[in-house]
This record gives sequence, structure tokens and C-alpha cells, in this order.
Amino acid sequence: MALLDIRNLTVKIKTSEGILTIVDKVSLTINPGKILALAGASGSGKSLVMQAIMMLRRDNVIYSADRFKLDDKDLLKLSSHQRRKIIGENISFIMQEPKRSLDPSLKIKTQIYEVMPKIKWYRFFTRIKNLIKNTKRQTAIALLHRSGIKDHSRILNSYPSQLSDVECQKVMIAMAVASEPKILLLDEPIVNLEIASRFQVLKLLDKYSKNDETSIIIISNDIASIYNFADEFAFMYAGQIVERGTREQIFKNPRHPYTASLIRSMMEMNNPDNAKKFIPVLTGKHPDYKHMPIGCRFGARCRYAKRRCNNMPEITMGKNSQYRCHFPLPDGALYSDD
Amino acid sequence: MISSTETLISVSGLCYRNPSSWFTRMFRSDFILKNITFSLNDGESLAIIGEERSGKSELISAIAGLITPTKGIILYNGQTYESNHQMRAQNFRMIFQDQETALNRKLRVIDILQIPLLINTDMAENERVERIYSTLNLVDLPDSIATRYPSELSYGQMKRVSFARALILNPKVILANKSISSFDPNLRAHICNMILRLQKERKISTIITTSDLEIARKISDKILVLCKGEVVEFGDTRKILNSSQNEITQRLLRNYNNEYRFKRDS
Repeated sequence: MALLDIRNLTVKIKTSEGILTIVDKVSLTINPGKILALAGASGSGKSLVMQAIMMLRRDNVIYSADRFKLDDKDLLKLSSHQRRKIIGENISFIMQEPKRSLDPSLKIKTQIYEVMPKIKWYRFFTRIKNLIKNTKRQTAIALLHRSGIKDHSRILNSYPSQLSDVECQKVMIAMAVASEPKILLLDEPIVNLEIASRFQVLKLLDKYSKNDETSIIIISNDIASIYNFADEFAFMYAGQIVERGTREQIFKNPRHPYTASLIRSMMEMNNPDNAKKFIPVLTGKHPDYKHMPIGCRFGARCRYAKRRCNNMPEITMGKNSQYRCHFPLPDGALYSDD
Repeated sequence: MISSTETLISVSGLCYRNPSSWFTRMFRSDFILKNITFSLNDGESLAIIGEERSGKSELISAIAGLITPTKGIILYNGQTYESNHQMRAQNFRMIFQDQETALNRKLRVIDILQIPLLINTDMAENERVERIYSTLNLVDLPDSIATRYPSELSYGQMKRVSFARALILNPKVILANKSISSFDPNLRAHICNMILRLQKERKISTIITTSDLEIARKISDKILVLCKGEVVEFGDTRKILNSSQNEITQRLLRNYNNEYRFKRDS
């Protein structure tokens, strides 16, 4: 049974030129303890999907969905207050750029205490006991230790600007797992980190997903770095999920031409024989949300496009993957030279 | 003295420490860069790699002239920074990491690209406009982009505009601090192709800091490995990435090719 089940999630944004549909009918399911990676060009709506899952309220954004189930509870039938409570308890979100998402004017100590679960006011004996034993600090230190920070006293007493990027990222992870969430959402967690720090952060997240059965949805464009980290991959293009499937299926036999082009670029970049050589790349540009094509959104850049591509393709269920294409690529098309 | 005809940049005995009060300086002398010496020939490209806090950004900022080194000399074509400021400003251009904050969002692209020309040259207006459009052409941008604001552009286009701003004075060297990662594989390959084309057609050298070794392998001839402010290894890219004997480099490569990373044979 799926932990999170979203069907036909749509995100619209009000602009001065009317309402634009940015995320168009995205369906996601995730099972406990699994890791799903979302990849795609910048501006394809990956971050908006994350914000929609968190239901972050902004005045100019409209969310709608046909189904939104978390742990078999239908969130669409609840009031917004109850919904926010359930989401806050079960889902944690780590945004892009850890340094910017921490409050620069507060010490790390204060920020960690803020997210730790509060003790109810009527349990005042527990509260007094905790005050004497300094439990708050002990819990914070334990959290930091679990996220791989050893010199806790320096970290707790410093401001975000005094820490490096990895340390900030680890503090963010510690804060996110403080409420023991069932789902962890990560927006570009390893970009701009150094080589060893990337490995540390990925190892830490892997530990959480294996030990605590936390499901992780991770946005990353560096698909080479998270290849063995994620169990499933979903690729987005112009607000739609164009292909989704298990790692083996997607990297061996991609069906959608866009996925194939991304994987081919990634492989060519990683080929040591290709040093100082030009790589064949996809031409054309990402469509504008104001003038979205009627048919297949990838049609203008696709070299296999035919007349039927003027109609919007529906999601086809394959054996280990789902794709949105009229003419899926055959097995082994990734490695053939044409 | 290092001879000046062939060398593009030579750094000798470069030390840097954060400017701080005399009190801290007396008790804690922690240099960020310690005695860095290397030289780069004409037409060669360099990638600087290293762990966190190894001083990569400080080194590239010192070469760009953004920070003044505490000790040591950097020679650009055999001349120091003080002796020929104009030459350095025209031939060594920097590209910054964050493409959104690098561009002034209140100016149109054409104005952004004009500023270096206004400061460093005395061109007439039509010459300037001609140069701007030819540079936009060089980085694969359409002419229509010149009248737009940075907020109307996509990330890849913003990056190209910062490249265009660096290229507009026909420099010899482009310095880029961590600026090619964080793109999707297609765009990354596009930018790498563009840099390779500039290297081949315009004979422009690039000096980059990166944590993506595949980009370093793709676009640079030489690699400089830094660790805690000291040069660990300096040499041919292929030699270092394929068969390095140094312990620190090996650890770096092992961390890079970790268990989560895509391997070609799997």
C-alpha cells in the first residue's frame, strides 16, 4: 500500500497575463522506505510539485488534485487546519540552499529547540524534570550526532554564517528528522557541495531511509551522483511527468525521447574517452508556459515526432515504467548510433 | 624569474590569510593559502579541485584580483597586477557562481553587457552595439534577448549572459568559480560544448573550480589539487584522474566515485 498517493495534481499560478497552468496532472505514489528522484530541466515545475505536497500557501498559487492520500487518510476531505497538522507531523521539507533557509539572526541552538516536539502544558512535572536535567540540549545533541556532526558544542553556539555549507545541510537534516517524519522532501540537497560532503549527505539520507523506513523524494539534476541512491526515477518536462520507472528500466531502456537524451548526455559526460571532445546535445528550447503546444510538449524538439504527436499523449503503463509518448523507443535504442 | 613569453599566468609563493586584527594575527596565524606555486602556459586550461575549505575560491579570487594576497607574486603575461592594471582587467574576466545574483536585475541585457566596454574602452556607440550582438551570437543567444531583463530569462540563458559579459572584451582567460554544476545534464553538456568551442576557436583559456570531476576532465588540460591551502598535485588532467599516486588525490577520487555514483560498466 502506498504511503503517499497523489492523483492528477495541478498547480496554477495567477499572473498579470491570466492564470498559467505550470504543473499539469502529475500523479505520484511512494511506498515506505523507498527513494524517488525527480529530475528535469530547470523551470519544469519540480520545486512546485514539492511545495504542492507540503501545501505551502501563497496568495497567487492554486493547487488542485483528484486524490491526495497520506497513510490512507484522505486529506482533501479535511479542513485546512487539520490537513496542515497531519502534513506537519508526517512530512518534512528541506529547501534549496541550506544557508539561506536557516535564520541568519538566530543561533543554531535556538533554531533546533524550536522544531523539537513540545511537552504539553499540563505535564508540568515532566517539564520541571526536563529543566533540571537539561533534556532539551541533550536531545539536540543526540539529533546532531545522528546527522553526523561530532563537535556539537561549536555548532550549537554558532550562527549559520559561521558554518560551512555541509554543516548547514546536516543541521537542516537534523531539524527535519526531529519530528520523525514519514516522508522527507529534499530540493537539490547536494548541489554546490564539495565532493566528500556530497557522499556524506547521501550516506546520511540513505541511513535514515533504511533504518527508519523514511520515504524520500529528492530533486536532483545530477543524475549521475544519485544513480545508485534512488530506487525510482521520474523525469519532468514542461510541467508533466514524461517518464517514471525503476532505475534498471529507465537507464537500460528509456521509452521517452527526452529521458533518453538526458541519459545519453549524462553518459557522454562520464565517458573518460570523451575528454576535450564535443558531445551531441538536444537542440531547441523548453516551451514557454504562456504558449504551450497543444499536442506533445516535447514535440518541437523531438526527432521522432510525427503527425500523431499533435495530440496530447496519455500515460501508458509499461512493464516497469510509465511514459507519456505515442512512439516509445524500442529496447536498446539508447546505445544505437543514429 | 620565470620567463614571460610562453607563460600565461605564473603564481609564486602565494600566501593569503583573512585580514584580521593584530591581536588575532599574533596568536593564530592560520593561512588559507600557503606557498602556492604553479605556472600555466598559453592556451592551457586549468581546473582547481579540492576538499571543503581547501582555499579554492580564495585562489581563484586572488588570480582574479578580488582579494590581495598577503605574500607572493602573481604574474599575468609576465607583468604584475600593479604594473599593468588595464591589461589584467581586459584579459582576465571572472564568472560568478550564482547566475541570478550575478546580473543586475534592474538593467536590460544590452546595458549589462555595455558596462565593461564603457569602463575599459573608448568605443563609439555603434561599435559597442555591434560588439554586443557578435558576442551574443558567440554564446548561442538570439539577438532578441538584448532588450530583455534578467528576470525574463531562463537559468541557462542567464549563465550565457554572464559568459557574454566575460567575453565582451575579448579576454585571454576566463575564470569561473563553481559555475557549471547545478544544471540538468543537457544544459551542462551544452555549456561544456560552448566552452570547448571558445577554447578551440578563440584560443581562450579557462580556469575553473569545480566539484564535478567529469567537467574538469572534459574542459581542462591541467589539474591543481589543493588540500588545506597547499598544492598537493599539479599536472596533466588525464594522468592525475587516471593514475594518481598521491594519497589525498586518491581519497578525493574514491569519494567521488562512491557507491551511489553511476559507473559505466554497470
